[in-house]
Amino acid sequence: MTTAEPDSVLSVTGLSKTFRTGRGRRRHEVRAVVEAACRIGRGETFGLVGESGSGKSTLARLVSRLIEPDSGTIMLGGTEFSALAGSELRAARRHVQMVFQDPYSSLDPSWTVGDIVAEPIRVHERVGTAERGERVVELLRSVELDGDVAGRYPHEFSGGQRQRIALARALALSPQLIICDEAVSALDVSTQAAVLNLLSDLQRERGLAYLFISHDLAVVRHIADRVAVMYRGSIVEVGQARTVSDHPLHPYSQLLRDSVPVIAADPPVPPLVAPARRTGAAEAGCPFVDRCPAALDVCSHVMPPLAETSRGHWVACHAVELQVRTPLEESRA
Amino acid sequence: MSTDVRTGLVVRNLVVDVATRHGWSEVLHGVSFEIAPGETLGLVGESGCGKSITAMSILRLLPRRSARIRSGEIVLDGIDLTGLTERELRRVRGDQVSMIFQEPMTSLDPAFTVGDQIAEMVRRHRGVSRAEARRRAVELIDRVGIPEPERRATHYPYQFSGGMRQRVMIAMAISCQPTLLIADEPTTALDVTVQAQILGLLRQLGQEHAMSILLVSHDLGVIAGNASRMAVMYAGEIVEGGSRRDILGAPQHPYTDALLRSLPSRSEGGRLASIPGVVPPLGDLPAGCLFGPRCGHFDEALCGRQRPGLRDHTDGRGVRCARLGDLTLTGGVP
Repeated sequence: MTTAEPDSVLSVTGLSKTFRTGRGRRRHEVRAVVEAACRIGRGETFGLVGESGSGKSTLARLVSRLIEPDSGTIMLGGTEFSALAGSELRAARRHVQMVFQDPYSSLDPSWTVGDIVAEPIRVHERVGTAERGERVVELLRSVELDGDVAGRYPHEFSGGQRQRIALARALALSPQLIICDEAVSALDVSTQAAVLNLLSDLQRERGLAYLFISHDLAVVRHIADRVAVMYRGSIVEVGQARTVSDHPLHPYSQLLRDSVPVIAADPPVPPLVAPARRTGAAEAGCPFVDRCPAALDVCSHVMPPLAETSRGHWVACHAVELQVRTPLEESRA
Repeated sequence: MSTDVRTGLVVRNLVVDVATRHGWSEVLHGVSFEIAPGETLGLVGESGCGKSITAMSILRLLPRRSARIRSGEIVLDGIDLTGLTERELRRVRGDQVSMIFQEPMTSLDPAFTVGDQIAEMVRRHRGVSRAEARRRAVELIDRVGIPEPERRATHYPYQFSGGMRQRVMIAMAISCQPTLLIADEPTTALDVTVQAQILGLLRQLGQEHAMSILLVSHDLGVIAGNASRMAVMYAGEIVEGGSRRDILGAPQHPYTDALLRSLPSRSEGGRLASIPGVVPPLGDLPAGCLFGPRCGHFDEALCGRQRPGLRDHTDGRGVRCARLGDLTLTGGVP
């Protein structure tokens, strides 16, 4: 899963980022992303789930090079995106676009919708005003808005409509990859459903790939083909979205699944979950060790690597590895 | 003020106006519900449906210049809260009725330790000595599951995580053993694993103290796991109310039905059902059913002329739909 395959849109290896604040005794380090690796294929939706502070948004910012990694490579198709600088970097940026969570702060209130959607075109391409206008209308139609909304301002639109405008802007340069960072999280379920449907339609029509970041397991299970679970900076499990959501193997993924409230007429009694003992960022060992019901001695010293437990399903857990390996070895003996 | 008769909360025909540029505009159009002692009622709806305004109205916490209760009754254990003076109401707040909000940081004073803030609450309402209030504060911090309560009582709000801060708020809310706790999106800002802990704590406290809880949430999952009865709000009205089992298992109002069908957790791949259109703007409400313009079962003759009343269905179930009985809705969850 770490080799760049020819049909991959994005391939990330060994990506790390540590934030440092303060000086002297107040010096503080946050290991936001630790040795992250993932690959996203053409037309694929790759989900990234985790709680606040798990590093999922930092990973998105690293991938789009809004911030610089400490180490690691980012390949966009055949290009080493992480090695680019200056005009080459600017030119390559068009291939990765982002849609953010808050549709109220990601659109400049003093710009018309037309100007907002046209901006990427104005920056990256030399086209006349008339052609730009035509493309804006086309883009707005592709997100199911009337072309004549171009002259209006963001405040005139609902949350769902604003997210469509942000999506039209992201589509303006025909990117290969769109990073959706909690893009539907602020929307009501009925509106959210319509935006999720639109994302699927656009993907089918244009062969887009999405890096879809969300704290909501149900949304990711619905939209993603594959999903990665992040915990305190590390990817702890990767696999098919259905498999990871319904039958997770990592103890943290299991806690996550069990914590999601079940919408049922007769819901099961939700489990009582113990709060985390805060120990700060673990320097060595598994980041989940202090909350883990299955922790072994080794877990507090050695960070378990991602290991493939079944085809395409990777888990970073000593206990899971032990379970999977043991019957295998017994059957060999 | 306090009575020994515990009859729970009865809200009857609550009509609330808010100030707009064009004068007062009605946002709650006659909301009625009841919560028995020890019972949890879930109030669910999407943004702008009026669920928070309903919650705030009970303690009259809405700013006087921008909102007013035009009519209706809010009766708690036999006393109509709408008839109380501001002074009388201050004694009810925190004593018989407590409220917790989505963002605990804005409800806590950053300049005082949490121990002092809880102790202050106890002293104000119970008139006990400083030392006794202090002792009770530590006890309450322990009660809501915060480790090392003695030490944590000396900490300031910024030293707590979001989930721990919400526990502090709950400690403060239960400090005077209220008969009613209003929880307005209490876990919306929290991570899902922390949410599970907080909801577990509320369930436990609700049972132990036989406290009535009004749980307000946009999240059907939160309501499903914590409320035995629920009410669904849309555009300032309760459109469907009854037992959780009946409503989620077999919704009778097209809005509830559509809401359940648009959940991503219902999807097995494929497309999600969504609700077309938007909530009607204030001051421009449709003549008939408020959900009419977005309803897949709209019938001009039945639904377009007058607003349907809340029709009794079966045991404690109310549905505000003119076509009740002749629709087959299939959005129920098992």
